[in-house]
Parts: sequence; C-alpha cells; structure tokens
Amino acid sequence: MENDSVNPVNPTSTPLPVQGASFEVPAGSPVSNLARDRYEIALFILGTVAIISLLFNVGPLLQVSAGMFLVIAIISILRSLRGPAKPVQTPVTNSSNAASDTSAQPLVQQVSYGSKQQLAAVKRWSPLKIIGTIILLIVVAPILFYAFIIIMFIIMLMAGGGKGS
Amino acid sequence: MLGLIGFLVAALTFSLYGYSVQKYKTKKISFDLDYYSSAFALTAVGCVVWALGTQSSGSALEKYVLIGDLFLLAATTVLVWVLTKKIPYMVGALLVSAGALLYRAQVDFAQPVIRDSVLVFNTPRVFGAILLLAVLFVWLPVNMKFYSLYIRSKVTQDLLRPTYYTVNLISLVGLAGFLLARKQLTITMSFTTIIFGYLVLALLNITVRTQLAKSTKGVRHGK
Repeated sequence: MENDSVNPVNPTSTPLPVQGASFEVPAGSPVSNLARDRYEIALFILGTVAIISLLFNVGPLLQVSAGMFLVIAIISILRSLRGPAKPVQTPVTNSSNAASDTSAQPLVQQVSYGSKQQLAAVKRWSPLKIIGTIILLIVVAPILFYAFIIIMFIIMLMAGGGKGS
Repeated sequence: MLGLIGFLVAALTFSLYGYSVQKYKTKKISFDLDYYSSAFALTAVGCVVWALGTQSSGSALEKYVLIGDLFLLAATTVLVWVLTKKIPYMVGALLVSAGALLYRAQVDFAQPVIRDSVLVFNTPRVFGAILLLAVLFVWLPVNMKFYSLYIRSKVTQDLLRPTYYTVNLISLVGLAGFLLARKQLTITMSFTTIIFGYLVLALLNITVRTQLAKSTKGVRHGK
C-alpha cells in the first residue's frame, strides 16, 4: 500500500496520510515483511495460533483459528479489490506562498496520489485492476474449485478409516 | 500410494515455484534470486526423499524422514542468508539446524509411521517449535520480501499483496501442518493446502511476469 500514498511534491518523502491506514507499518522496515497493516497482523497471529495448535495437537483451537483466518483473509482480499483508500484532502499551508499570493483564490487541495496516472486510476478501473480481477477469476477461482473438490474427495476417502493418535 | 503421489506433487509444485521465481532475474535488484530459488529446489528434493520413504518402513523410514528434514533445514538456512545477507545469522541458522536435527535423531526420536499410505511424521515438540519459528520468521518474511522487490514493482498498485500474504501464510501453515499434525485427515488437508498454495503463488508469479509486465508497458506507452 505504500505507493498508493506517495507525496506528490516529493515522492521520496514520507507519504501523506490516507484514511484507514492508521495501522500500517512503514514500508521498508524489517517488520513490514512480516505484517504491514491490521489485517496482516491479525492473519499472522491467527496463523501462529494455528501452528501452535498443531504443535500441541489442540483440534478445536485449530478449527477456530482456521475459520477466523478464512474470514479475515477474504475481507482483506476483497478490500484490496475495492481499490485504494480515499485521499485525505489537506489545504496547503505554505506560509511563503500564502504571503506572496495576495489574490483570494481558494486553497489548493492536495491529494495523496502522486502521478496523473494514479489520479486517473482513482476515477475509473485501470487496465491493471481489470487484469488483476481477471487473474483472480480465471486463475484462482478454478483452482479454489478444484482444491475444494479434492478436499471433499479426500474427506470422503478418509471418512471410514481416519484414526487419530 | 497416496503419500507417494502427494509428496511427488509437492516436489513438482516447489520446483514450479522455484522456476517461476527465476523468471524475475535481474541485475538491478540485490536479492539472491538463485539462492532463493535453490531453497525451493532443496525443499523439492526433501519431498522426493519423503516420497521414497513412504515405500519403506521401520529404520529405513526413519532415515528417509531425517534426510528429508535435513533438506528442509538446509533450505531454511539458505533462506536466512537470502533474508539477512549476514554471515553470523547464517552460521547461527546452520548451528540451530544441525542441533535440531541431532536432537531429532538422537534425543527425542518419535518413530514416523505409515498409516493407510499416509506418512505420519510424529515430529517431537522441540523440533516442531524450531520449525514453527523457521516458518514464521524466515519463510514468510523472505517470501514477502520477494513480493516487495519483484512483484510490487510490476504493478502500479499494491493490489496483489493481500493475496500473496494470505496464500503464503496459508501455505506455511500447511507446511507446518503436515510436519506437526498426527491425524491423517489433518495431514492430508495440510498437504493439499501447501500444494494448492504454492501452485497459486507460482501461477501468480508467472502471470504477473508475462501478462502484467506487458500490460504495464502498454499502459505507459499509451500515455
């Protein structure tokens, strides 16, 4: 999400605030590869709980964490498909500019998207977004479908003789 | 037979992921893509060893399981190098891996068994805890580092990060699952999860490299 909020004045500077991004870990920090926003932190915790429950062989805990993981994962992925967060509109408060500009022009509003290309992407679906959705629909959906069938098939196979130790 | 097929499919999936990663090779980014890819090759070899192990029993099976574990830990050590690029960390990972394997072989060796053609690893908890740490603090960050450096640069928006993150985490839970679980159903489900997860990641890598790169060029030229 880091490049969705590039400062248009200086792209290398700290990104401008974006609504809904208050829990984001700064990109580039060592922790950002582990988890970046609140959804990823929740997923990471639930994944850890799932592995710990496997380690100690606690079935109910695994089921609960896996269920919650699934719900949060779906929310996280759907949220990313919805597009970038709305820009925060902040008036320019550059005192030197204000002093030199005596005309009563309305304050210029900065938005947190850097290039024109990014600004255009806010208004309409970019080709990349369409392709991303197509990937999800054409590649991921059939795989999910086949995986579901395989899992169902395995469950049917195992239903008779699945002894646990 | 189910175990044999499963491990062979897993080996193919890891190899496919390693291959898909190789397609991003560039001199511009200082990320050891060859090492990263070879870590998955090592994991694939480990899966082949386990696949062979499903055709044996008793002490031979124990050896196959230990050799497979060795490959997995070697892959983890390589990934530590890719992630940190610091020799002390890699040496530390090497020592921890060697110690864990020794502990698994000599101190707390719960015998693996084949139950209805499914390999039950019976991983000891201490060894399992080390695997847990490796999976969460080495495999996940290094996979996401690969995403940040290569996939993220191919798309103008961070659309694919949640998908990559979720699928990575699910796959790694699956990886931990088939090593730590003791019920056949859980082992099989975990195995299916890891195969499915890495297959999706490999396909996404290939798709982004071939399709999105072209499309990005097209969009930029169009503007």
